[in-house]
Amino acid sequence: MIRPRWIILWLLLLGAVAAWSALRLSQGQTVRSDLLALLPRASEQAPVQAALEHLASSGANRAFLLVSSPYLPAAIVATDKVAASLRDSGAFAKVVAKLPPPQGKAVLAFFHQAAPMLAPTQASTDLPRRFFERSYGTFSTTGTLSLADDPFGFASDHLRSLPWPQAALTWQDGYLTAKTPEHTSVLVILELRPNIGEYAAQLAVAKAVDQAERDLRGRNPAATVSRLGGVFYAEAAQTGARHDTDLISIGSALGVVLLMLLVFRSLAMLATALASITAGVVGGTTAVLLVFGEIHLLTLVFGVSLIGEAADYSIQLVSAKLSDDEERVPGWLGRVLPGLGMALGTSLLGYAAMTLVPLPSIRQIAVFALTGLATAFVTVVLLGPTATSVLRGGKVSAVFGDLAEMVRALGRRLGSKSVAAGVLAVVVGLCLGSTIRTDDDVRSLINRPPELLRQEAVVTQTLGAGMSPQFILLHPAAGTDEACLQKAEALHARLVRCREAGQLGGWTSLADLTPSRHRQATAHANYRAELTRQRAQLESAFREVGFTPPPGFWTADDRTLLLHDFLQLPEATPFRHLRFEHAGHISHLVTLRAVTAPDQIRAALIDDADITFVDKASSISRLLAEVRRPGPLWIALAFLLALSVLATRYGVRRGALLLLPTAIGVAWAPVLAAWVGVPASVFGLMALLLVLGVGVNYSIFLWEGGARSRSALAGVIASCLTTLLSFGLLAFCSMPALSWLGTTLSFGILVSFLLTPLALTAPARHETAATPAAR
Amino acid sequence: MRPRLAIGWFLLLCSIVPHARAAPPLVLDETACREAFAAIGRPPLLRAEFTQEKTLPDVARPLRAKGELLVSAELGVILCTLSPEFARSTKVMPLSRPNTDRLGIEARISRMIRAVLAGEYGPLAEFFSAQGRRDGNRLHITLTPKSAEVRSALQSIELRFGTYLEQVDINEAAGSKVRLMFSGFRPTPDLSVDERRSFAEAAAR
Repeated sequence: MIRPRWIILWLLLLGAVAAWSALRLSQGQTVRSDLLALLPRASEQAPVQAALEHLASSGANRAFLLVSSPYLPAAIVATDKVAASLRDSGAFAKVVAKLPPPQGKAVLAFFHQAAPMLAPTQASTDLPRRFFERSYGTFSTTGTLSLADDPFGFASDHLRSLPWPQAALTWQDGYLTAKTPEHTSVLVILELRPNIGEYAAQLAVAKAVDQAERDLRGRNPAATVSRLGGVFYAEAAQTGARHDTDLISIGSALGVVLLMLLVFRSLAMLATALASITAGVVGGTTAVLLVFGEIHLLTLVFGVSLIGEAADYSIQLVSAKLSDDEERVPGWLGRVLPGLGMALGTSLLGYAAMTLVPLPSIRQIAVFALTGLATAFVTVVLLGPTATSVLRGGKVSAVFGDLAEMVRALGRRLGSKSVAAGVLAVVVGLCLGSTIRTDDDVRSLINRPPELLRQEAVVTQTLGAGMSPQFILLHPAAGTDEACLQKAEALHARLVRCREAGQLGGWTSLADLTPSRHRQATAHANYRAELTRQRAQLESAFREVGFTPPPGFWTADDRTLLLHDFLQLPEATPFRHLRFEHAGHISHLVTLRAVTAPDQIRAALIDDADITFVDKASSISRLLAEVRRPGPLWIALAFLLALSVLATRYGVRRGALLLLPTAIGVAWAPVLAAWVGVPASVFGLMALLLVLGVGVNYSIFLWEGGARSRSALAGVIASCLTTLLSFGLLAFCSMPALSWLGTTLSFGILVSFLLTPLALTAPARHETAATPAAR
Repeated sequence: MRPRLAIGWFLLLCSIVPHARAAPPLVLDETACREAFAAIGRPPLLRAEFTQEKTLPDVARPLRAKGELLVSAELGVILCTLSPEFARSTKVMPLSRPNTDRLGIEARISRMIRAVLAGEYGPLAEFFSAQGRRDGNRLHITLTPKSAEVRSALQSIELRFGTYLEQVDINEAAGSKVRLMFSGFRPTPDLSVDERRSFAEAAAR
């Protein structure tokens, strides 16, 4: 019997750990729901990771609404009502419906007298010709610099080609509007509160927009509100995950309680199980928070599905006690613990294999499971014996006794032919499995509500071609703005070729705002040389037109434009996110539009180490495929490892027999899952590793004594049912990744369990005394 | 008395008839301008000669130029300055630019110019509010920018129509003024190979 002080110490430790975890979780920002958290970081270049985090943080504090109505006046009225409703909700830091147009004068002033710095860099520009075009051109001076400031139109051409992102929008009475053949839309900018990472803040935003839309539609059924912003996806993911967590935790807990009360009628089992489940969840959460500093929703949802498995140990321990009560044989604890330890060992082996998958979220799940199961096991071992002595009672129906006899008889009848048939089933399953459709697209693993995707498409279509998720990172070793601008200028010709090939629609680069100093110096030198060379013709042209050049025109002083100064202008706000600093190095981003051939663009840039084409979703999808492809090898190695563990107690032959039902389950789980529409993916691979870790438990439990008494057999069946319940509920998750995992896992465990009698195949003569047959 | 009466009647008639013949011009609101625009002749192809007078604050005298205008309902507008010799230039404003994924500032200005020269009301209505005057078969429309964005570049555009667009006055915010006068309208000949190529090249840029 365990000493009470150990139990008290353990409970105190669990209490302290639970309090710490609760405190951390209540602080917010520790539960992640975004795609970024799913992505591998260690394999990324640090600048790429920094760029992704920079982009996420610059977009995280804003969201956009597009209020549309057939006519502009109605759209403006609708916008005012929506904005007022949103402001009243208090869910936003700021709601901007009307805003002043950019003061073109400030931008004009910035480029004032900078024409020589923006001249062509190549020689032989026909300056008189450009002057005549500028003087006589019908609209050549409209909205640009004056003829005196820019006689050849160099700065004016530059000004007109500035890539303002709101170019598809026009200002109408202070509202940013866009027109389509069917609607006039008004843009509303939502500035989010600093705590938007917290679910409560996200929920408040979503509810406020829902309410504003309902009110609007009540008054004006023709009006629509479309939304765009990560906050809406985050809220949907969090709400879905919370629903999933509730479904699995309540469903599993109720299932476990009902099963224990109905089958075993043992309060000791119930108390031990509830304690071990709680301890498992607390232990897993704490370990993840300690190791990763945060926990992903995927981990939380999967974590609660461990309830079924964590309950196994208490079921086995207490059913062993009940079994020995039936047989009136003392020393039950000493006999049950090695088997339980073996079951824990194989489970931990499965989860440990998951830590090799290069995805932080899968590692999180593995750490959660490893710690959670170990904590649950220790809790059962510490509390179980005491619970069974304090809370006596419990009885299993006699039906299980008949069933145990049947299973034993079946095991005696099974021989080499059964084993051969089992091996054949594995081969057939593997052959069928090789034909299953695969899906490694990381986007299909995330739950993205179709309605939000539709609204996002409406917004991007109305505002013009949307920004592609891919971008180019310029991270030259020098880490200066100048080096980045030079890289961008070198990149320009390649991007033009990509655009001409139809691979992308366009791009936005800081080099399109202010050229590099080097380029400006070249332009300036060339300008001065041309000015000197063509002075006579120019003087004649000026006389012809009647133009008197301003003072200093012929000397054309150096007036280098600095990117830093441009970015200080209020009008530069839409461009500031294209520059960031990481570890003392400045990097620039080139955002892309309408990317149609990411692989070709990547190939066009691959020879420059300072330029990285970042396509996070594709690179993750490729990574997932790379992880999935050698999956069969991983599983084979895991089986060998499991066999070597089992062989230490059962010998190689019995160990292999114990593994055979699980092998059939692993081979057939993807095939059965495919029949219900689940493709092969890295999450399917994870599921198969878990089928190995969990499925072999039933063979062990059965071999260790499950077929000996009704309580023991009931314990094995109950263990399987609780696990199936938890993982089965996982199949109904809103997150496709977890749903695929749950479906594959459930099929694998079901097949493994149904075939466990194969583990009882008559033993060979040379088997060791460690086996129950020898006992 | 009779001669006096006759003279009196004559004077009265003389005073009335001119007023009756010169009925006050009809003021047109936005909707009426739109309808008047729609009634303007817009053949699939129209060629005209133009005379331009441009006044710039930095230049002592008005700059005069002459050239040819081509408006194709299918492809866009070509404005070809032919004289003075040193200012010869051709500006092609295609109707569609398949490679342009969004409306940049330059594309917007180009679209606006094209709309002015082709007399298209749709694109202009996006940027300007219109007020007009009809005087017999003469139509005079004044466009004023709706938004501060356009107002920072243009004060107003005045369009005068007969059968076709006959005169455009562009008053820029910075003080420049451009007057374009069109004449010699002809709906033939069809587009030349060079003109089609110019449209295609401009659209591809």
